[in-house]
Amino acid sequence: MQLVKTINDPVHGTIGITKLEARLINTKAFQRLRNVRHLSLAYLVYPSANFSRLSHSIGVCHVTGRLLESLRKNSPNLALDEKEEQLYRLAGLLHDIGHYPFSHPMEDAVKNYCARKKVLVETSSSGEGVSIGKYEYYNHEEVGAFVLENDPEIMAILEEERIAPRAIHSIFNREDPPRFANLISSDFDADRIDYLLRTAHHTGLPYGKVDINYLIGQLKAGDFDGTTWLYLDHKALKAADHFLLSRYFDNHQAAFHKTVAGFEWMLKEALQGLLENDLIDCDVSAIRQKIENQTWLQFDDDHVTHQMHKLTEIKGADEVTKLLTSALITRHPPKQLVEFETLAKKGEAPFGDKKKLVGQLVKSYAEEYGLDERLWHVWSKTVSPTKVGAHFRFDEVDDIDQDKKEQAIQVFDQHKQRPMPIVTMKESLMSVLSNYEYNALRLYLLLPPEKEGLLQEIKDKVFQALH
Amino acid sequence: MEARLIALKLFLDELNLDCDISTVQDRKRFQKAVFLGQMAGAEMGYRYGWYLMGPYSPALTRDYYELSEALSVDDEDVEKYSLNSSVKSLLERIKPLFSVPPSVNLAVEDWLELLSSILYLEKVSELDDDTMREKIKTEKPALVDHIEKGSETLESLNLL
Repeated sequence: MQLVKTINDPVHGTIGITKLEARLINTKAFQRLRNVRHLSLAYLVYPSANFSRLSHSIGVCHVTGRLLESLRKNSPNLALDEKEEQLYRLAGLLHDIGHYPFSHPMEDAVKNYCARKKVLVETSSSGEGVSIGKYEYYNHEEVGAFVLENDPEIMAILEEERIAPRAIHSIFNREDPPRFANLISSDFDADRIDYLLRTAHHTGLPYGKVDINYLIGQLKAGDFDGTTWLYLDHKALKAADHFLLSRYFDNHQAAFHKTVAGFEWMLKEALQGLLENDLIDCDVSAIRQKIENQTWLQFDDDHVTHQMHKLTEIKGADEVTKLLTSALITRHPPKQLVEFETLAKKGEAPFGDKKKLVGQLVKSYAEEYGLDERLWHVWSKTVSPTKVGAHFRFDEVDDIDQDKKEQAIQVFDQHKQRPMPIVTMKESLMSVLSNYEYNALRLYLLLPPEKEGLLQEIKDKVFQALH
Repeated sequence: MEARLIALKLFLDELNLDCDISTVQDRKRFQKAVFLGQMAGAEMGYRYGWYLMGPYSPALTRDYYELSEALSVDDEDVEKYSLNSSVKSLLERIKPLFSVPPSVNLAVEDWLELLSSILYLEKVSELDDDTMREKIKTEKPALVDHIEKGSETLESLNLL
């Protein structure tokens, strides 16, 4: 690959890019990512964690290049030509181009709004709900595919280079996944590598300090049972364990941080309010139109924040949503009243009864204190260190869904003389840890300013009721 | 529970299917039921690709694990909603697909795999009839004897 330009990056140092990549980076649709924060609201807790999807995307392109370089060196019979290499690098560069403002929380809000509008009707209402087909959504990968196929600047560049947009988005969308799609989407991919390093750098958390260079250097590819597998040499097994464990801790300290998670709940409520009040429109036809008429280029975090300000001023809009939105804008987090955590064997659901009890407490205290039930939030999470391990027991690993199996970290098994998922290897930490899940249950409350004095009293009552 | 998960639970309820996902066959039934429902017009927003067992949606996989987790601790939210009448009537139309015809010696999950595969290859991949048959013959030899009956069943419901 001819890397004709360089970009300085705080995580990877000097990054080389091709002429084609430089042209795509300069398009308006790519520059839009400058205003879409990668970690959504984490910057409200970690002040420097406000890096954008633009810097992450360039990082992913660079890491994809490094992974391919290793493959070329370690598996010389691959017949990997420059054209194919460029396609994977482009998939890395453009994999996030369809992200909504505020990323995943917005996507969840859109999906839930869509389900309410299109599929569900409240049992308490007498209506039949709106007719089918009224509201449809794209996930961010689908938006990405649509951008590649319809953004005039990107289309012109790809056409000039004789590259079909589908050749790029089929990699990051895993549509009939090409042989190395796992470079962009798997338990050990360029996306997760850059994410881990970049999050560590910008939050100041130490979990990015894994032996990434060694892991990248041990990547190989080979044909087994008629399929091409990407795998790590057996000697990289410990480093792979460490990588997965680091991701696990990173999730705990960043995404599941009590204040970040509290803000994320408020953000979803605010976004729901924007959708309900027509302050944003994420219906498929609206998104298509935005991309075609290029108003998509302004559809970023700043725009949505501006719409949130508008929501707080709308007379007649739901008062609870307005309160949650105002609190978010002014960085006024909800208070965590109680938290339970435990590591348990998979499928045990250790907090089932407790969650029901918390639900009953919310109903009762909401009435007693005159605090709307929607100001309370029951947060629960179940997490396992590996994608495979997240859902399957070790002894079931041969039966897992094919897609998940393909995306697990594969390590070369010296006895079987073929790559195997890391969780099946008895010498790996993951073979044990993947049988366990971290379970957490929290109760949050956002008190209106005039009722903040009630916090300790409510907290004590909740504690007594649950212990 | 999030609205999209409630919708998923009610969707399965409407087809008289449970949400158990303990085995591969359970998960296959779940995947194919949603696919067939969507192809009948009850759009749930899941994008499907072609995998070993036919049409498969990674996003749906994420959601049914999340649903299973949510149901293990709380199903009260589900009672607050029902499916709207349009979705109900679309699902009513495809209910016959979930009974294996007497002449077909397949488990219901495999029958659903066959129906979904025919539909995916003809409607999504836009393959002609011969190419569809050839692909199923190569990739799913255990199902090939029942292609005729599968196509006939789909045609009888105007899905093909």
